[in-house]
Amino acid sequence: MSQTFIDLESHPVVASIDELLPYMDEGWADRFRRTRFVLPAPQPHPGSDQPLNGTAVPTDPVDAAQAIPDDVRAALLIPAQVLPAAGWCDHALSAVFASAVNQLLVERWLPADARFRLAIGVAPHDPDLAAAEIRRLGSHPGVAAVCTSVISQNLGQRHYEPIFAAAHELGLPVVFHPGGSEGLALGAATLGGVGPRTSEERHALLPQVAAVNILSLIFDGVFSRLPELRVVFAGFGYDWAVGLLWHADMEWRALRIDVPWVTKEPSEYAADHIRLVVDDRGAGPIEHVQNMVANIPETMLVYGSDRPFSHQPAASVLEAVPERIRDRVAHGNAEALLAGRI
Amino acid sequence: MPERGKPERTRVGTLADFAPDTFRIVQVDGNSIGVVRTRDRFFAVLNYCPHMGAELCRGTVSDTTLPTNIPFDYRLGYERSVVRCPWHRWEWDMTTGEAIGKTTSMRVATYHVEVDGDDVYVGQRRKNSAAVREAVAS
Amino acid sequence: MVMHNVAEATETSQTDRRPLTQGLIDCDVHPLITDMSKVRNRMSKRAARRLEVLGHIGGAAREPNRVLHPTGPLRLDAMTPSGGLPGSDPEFTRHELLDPYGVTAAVLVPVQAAAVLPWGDEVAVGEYLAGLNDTLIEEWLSADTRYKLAISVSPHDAKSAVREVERLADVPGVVAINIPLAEVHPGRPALHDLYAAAEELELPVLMHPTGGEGNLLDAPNFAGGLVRTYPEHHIMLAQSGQAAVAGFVLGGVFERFPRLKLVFAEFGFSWVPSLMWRLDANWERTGGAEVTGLTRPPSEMIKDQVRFTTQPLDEPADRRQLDAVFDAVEAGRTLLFSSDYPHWDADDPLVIFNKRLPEPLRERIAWGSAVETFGRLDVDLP
Repeated sequence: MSQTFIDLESHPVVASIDELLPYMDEGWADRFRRTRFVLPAPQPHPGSDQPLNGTAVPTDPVDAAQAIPDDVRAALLIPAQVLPAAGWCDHALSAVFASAVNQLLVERWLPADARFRLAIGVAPHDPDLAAAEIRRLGSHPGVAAVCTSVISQNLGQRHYEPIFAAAHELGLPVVFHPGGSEGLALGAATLGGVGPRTSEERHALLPQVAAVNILSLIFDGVFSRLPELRVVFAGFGYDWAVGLLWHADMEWRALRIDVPWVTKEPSEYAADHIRLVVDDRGAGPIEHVQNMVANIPETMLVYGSDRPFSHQPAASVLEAVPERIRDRVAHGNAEALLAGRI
Repeated sequence: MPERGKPERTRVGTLADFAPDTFRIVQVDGNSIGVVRTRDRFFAVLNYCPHMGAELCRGTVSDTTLPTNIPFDYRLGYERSVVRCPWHRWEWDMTTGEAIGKTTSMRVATYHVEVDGDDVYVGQRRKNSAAVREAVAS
Repeated sequence: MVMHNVAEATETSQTDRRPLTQGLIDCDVHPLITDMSKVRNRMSKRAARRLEVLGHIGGAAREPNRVLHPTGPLRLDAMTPSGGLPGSDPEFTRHELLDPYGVTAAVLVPVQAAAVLPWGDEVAVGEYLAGLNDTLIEEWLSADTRYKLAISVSPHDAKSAVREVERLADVPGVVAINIPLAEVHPGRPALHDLYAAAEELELPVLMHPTGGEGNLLDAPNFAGGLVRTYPEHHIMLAQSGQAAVAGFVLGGVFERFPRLKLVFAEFGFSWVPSLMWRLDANWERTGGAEVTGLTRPPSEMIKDQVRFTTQPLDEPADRRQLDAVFDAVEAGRTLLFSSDYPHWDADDPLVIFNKRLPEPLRERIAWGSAVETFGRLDVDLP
């Protein structure tokens, strides 16, 4: 198959906190040391096919680049170690940490392979500090997106306005990815139902976080205010979008009076503004999966490898989508999304 | 052309029979039709919501919110020509039969209304400009 | 804009309203007790005062301004002839639902049971629910043998729940157990005695949104944070059902109670394939039968033991798009017809059967799966 891919979910890993301290002010570096700050481990999702603390996790960008197949023309670096900040209480520390990670990636990873692009990692609790970081790096030629995790406020609430405004200004899509605290820690996004839950249960319910935020973005009018904004959900799955969008359209037909700023079908907003990363073929019977996925607007799906936490070959992952849209998912939709940046 | 044997119009009451914004449901040629007077206009619509077959004219007549680009900005419009289905609240513009906000391409059937002196008449079905689509076979 | 593949309403559409003759079991119909003295008079003085203070309406209505329905939640055309609230008159419900649609049996799901979600007085919880059950038995089950009841039990205390189940299981017309989910995770051992009783007595455990979800502290959450608009809130009600399904699977409930049946009413079902497959993927990755203690894949457990009511049925532009979901969930096994009468978003049975469901599934969804799910249904079918 002479398919090319654009990988929208690739995770760079920083090996130790010592590598980040040089990117901080002296006073902050000292604080990280004296508080025994623990660098988030390269954490696969609970229940993924990598054991915790797996050994095959490259921390050298050259090694990571070599692991990328030749048919991948671009790989978006999503710094997963920034994302647990959704569960941290010190907002200033979170911002300093994110900035140090970004700077390390800009200086050491981007030069290692022309295919690498950076999703600027920001901590979600202080949206003004996040917006400042987006503006600091947003024009760098190696930057193609912003990434963060969701907290206990939905994306349509005012809290995120500075983040979205900065990203919109710079033409950058915003990628949301789980941070690991969902359904566990106060202040991070909750999950449906009640706990305590097993890790498999939390993994099973993670898509709910993306679902509620897709609805919030649409029904709370974010795309009315920011018509060029694109939002990506990576690591949350994708086939659940079928029922969600059908139901959202149905509610709109009945309740438009109350949301008159939603001037077209919710699924049309999703087709224009929302992207879901397909990084896992899943366990369903392939024909059933394809038939479900066929009901998702074609523009919405984008491929991601989830390297180094997943070893599913891209061709295997894309079996989940009907053949007629595989090219779009493999690279076409991502090209449109990252236009000008790759 | 009206069908042979079908009257061109049917008398459905006098002006005094129609309280403002309140449907009167009448039988015309075997069809249940709701007739309502709003702000000195008359509307007649088939008493059947195309969504799920509710008695549309047991719903309400009102203005509704205008489409906007500004979240949480509510402005009213449509000059009381909106009928809202009592079931799922789908809203229809009685001047055209179309759905408010273009939420669907389905339409409600509307009829001509004539006021002749004191008498109110329901006339023929109003033609609609878009093509009618085939029903999904049951 | 959705280009619906249906005709403009024509005069002839009005004539397709003959009752269904094939048999129809409506698995989600809502009665309403408006004269609460009937329930209060069955309670002790100590417990009755809780009712006065905290009210008898479910969680959503406790603070009526928390999530406002855009045009009001009551279906004005379902008000009773005497001016009563929708669902308050079994004669009127018979006239509006049972007779015109050819309903063979209607499973009554009392939303007022949800009042107990935030109650701290467990004695009052037990007495109130018993009073509610007895009042519904007296007023509705006696009004028409087509009415069947899901009796309500405490979501906080399994012992109290089991007592109530044992008290009423043999009352003719009692067909299920309604548990308004609250702060106890449904998969946890704390509730297993209830499931044992339900399995033993062949009563499915039924769950339905309470209005407490994403609203009250001691109720199931929505994911994320507070929602702002009613459409979001309404769509998110599915999430407590999704979480409960996952919780039952991973809590080993289906493993321990292989004959237990669960009914999820009004949570939808288009999300079921995705959740099933996600649970299966985890089950495989974490070691399958040998390691997890779950000897069947989660998708098999769900298809064997969980049933979902059809309302609200999604409305894609082409109804054949639903086939993808029907196939994935094995709809002939897992779906039960429901109207949700008299709520504002109810589904019309004639439309569902004549225009939305594929012909091969109609009998199963109309009554076939229901008679298998509700062991005590006791109906005559054509």
